[in-house]
Amino acid sequence: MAELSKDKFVIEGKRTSDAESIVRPSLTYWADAWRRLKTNKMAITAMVILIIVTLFAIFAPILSEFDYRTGDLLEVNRQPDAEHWFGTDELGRDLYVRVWEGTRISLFIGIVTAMLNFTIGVLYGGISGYVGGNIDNIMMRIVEILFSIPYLLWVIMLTTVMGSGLFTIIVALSIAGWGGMARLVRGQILQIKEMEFVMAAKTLGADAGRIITKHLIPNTIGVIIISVTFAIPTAIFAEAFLSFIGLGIKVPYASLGSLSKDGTRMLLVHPYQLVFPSIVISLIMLSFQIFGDGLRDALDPRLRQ
Amino acid sequence: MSEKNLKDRKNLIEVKNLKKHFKVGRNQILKAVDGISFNIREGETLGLVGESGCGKSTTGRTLIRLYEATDGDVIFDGMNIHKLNRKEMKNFAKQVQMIFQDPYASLNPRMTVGDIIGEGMDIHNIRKGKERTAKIYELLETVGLNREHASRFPHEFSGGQRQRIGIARALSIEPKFIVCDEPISALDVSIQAQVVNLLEDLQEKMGLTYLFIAHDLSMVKHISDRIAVMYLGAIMEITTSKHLYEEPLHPYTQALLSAIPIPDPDIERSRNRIILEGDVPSPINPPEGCKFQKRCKYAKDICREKAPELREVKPDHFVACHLVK
Repeated sequence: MAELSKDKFVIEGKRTSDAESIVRPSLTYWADAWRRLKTNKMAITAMVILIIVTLFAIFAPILSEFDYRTGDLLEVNRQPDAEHWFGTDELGRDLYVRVWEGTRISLFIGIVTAMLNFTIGVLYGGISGYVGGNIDNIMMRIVEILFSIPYLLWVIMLTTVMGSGLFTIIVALSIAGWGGMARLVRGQILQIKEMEFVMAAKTLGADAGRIITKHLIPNTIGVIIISVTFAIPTAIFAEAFLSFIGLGIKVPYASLGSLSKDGTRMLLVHPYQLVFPSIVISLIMLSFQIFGDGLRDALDPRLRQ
Repeated sequence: MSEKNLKDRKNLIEVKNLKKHFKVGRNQILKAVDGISFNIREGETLGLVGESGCGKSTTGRTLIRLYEATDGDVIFDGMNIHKLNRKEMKNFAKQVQMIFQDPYASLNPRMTVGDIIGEGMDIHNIRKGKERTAKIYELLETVGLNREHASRFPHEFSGGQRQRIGIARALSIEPKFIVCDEPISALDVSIQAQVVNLLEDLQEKMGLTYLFIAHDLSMVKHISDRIAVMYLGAIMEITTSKHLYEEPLHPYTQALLSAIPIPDPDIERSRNRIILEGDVPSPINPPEGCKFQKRCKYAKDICREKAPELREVKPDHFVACHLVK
């Protein structure tokens, strides 16, 4: 072993400033969530499928030479071919255009209903949770009463009053759906408003507006987004079910549910008329579920099992 | 700590018969704080000790009106805090701050450290733009962190670092008085000393007044000028920390002090610890008379009938006990 002598060493002193430094790059909440989401291949695949389906729903009806409501009686029930990619239905309407038109309406119902649920639920649940006490008690009892009425009943009642159609479905699904969001938000707010950082903000003199916008909402937004992601497919499926039993979208409009209903009648003779709308609705449902799961893992890692 | 001449200083805070009761269930009332009176002098540290659930934290929070008092007054610098209107409250908020127990819950996980520290300045419109940033950097360096930390998020820090961020936040609006609600009990011992020393340095530099809530008696002795002992929502004894440790008068204080281990195995083995019988009674139905009578081995009839008042038995030594003469 080599001789160790004092002159081989130099006293460097210590660097105190380095002791507290952090090596990891600083990431915002969203950048961090995106980094986690990116590693989840299933969720990314689902997201890509959803984007593609949405793009088709927007552009396919515009770019096609056919129209979803005009039939050609000389071209009734044609098998899929180069001209009619998904074939035609019993009135000679091009199914390719109708499927994407139906997707458009289904997605529209899903997104609008989810947004309505989100807006009403966050406001209602937020107020209920933040104010607390008796007001909270009364507000939550109202939700429970509304919730005890099944949504099918709402739809039937509203259809009788307003006539069936897109608007009725959205209203009915929103009435039946916002309660879940309100409860979720209330629970979150109740939990967070007692946390010490909210108390610290109060000690600093923050008013209610500041506490809600800067402290409560940013800390619940992850859970809310996840819930919205699951609310969209629920609404789409509810609409499909309603259209399937004849309470939904009226002709000549189409939704994936009403297309499936028309398809079942032709199942034995022309199965392709059921296959295409079913594939699209299954893809949407599956993708939303997988994407929602991935989003939950990314936004709220504590919930992962 | 060097002996400060505190006798001549004027009172910054006077607490008179403060009560905070919580409703539990339909007809039950939890008396978390039940008629306490004390004062805190300018520039001193008052330690507040007691078992878990005796109302220490509630006292601290009611003191700065995070909770509305059920009864009683808190006079801060001539203002009756529980009678202030909204505008005066905002002004009052500039003068008092709080450091919290749990460094993991006391920082908003969605805000950067810079925004957390700057929040007080934003609320009171004290500094903006470059001045604000400069102040944030200055505060970070005051508490021993780097200015690069301003853009970081709380989860990137250790417990001790987070507690220092909490201290920087409390200092940001240059308060006179800080309630330290068990600021060190969630930290490990090596970090505790760091935080306590920082608090002491800051007090010396800025002339701060502290209410230091804790259950660790040895740490409280180190930092406090005077100590108040609380039991079941009432104050049992208040005196200088020197007096309290040298000649505790209240039986409860004596029992508490005998629980501190002595770092000498021979003495530790031979000394007699005072072991209290039973548990702390529920604050929902506290015992009649003296709150401590159920566990006090000296308890007499008068203790069961009448609650003792806090009396000055020696200069600057107050005790609430019928039996202390």
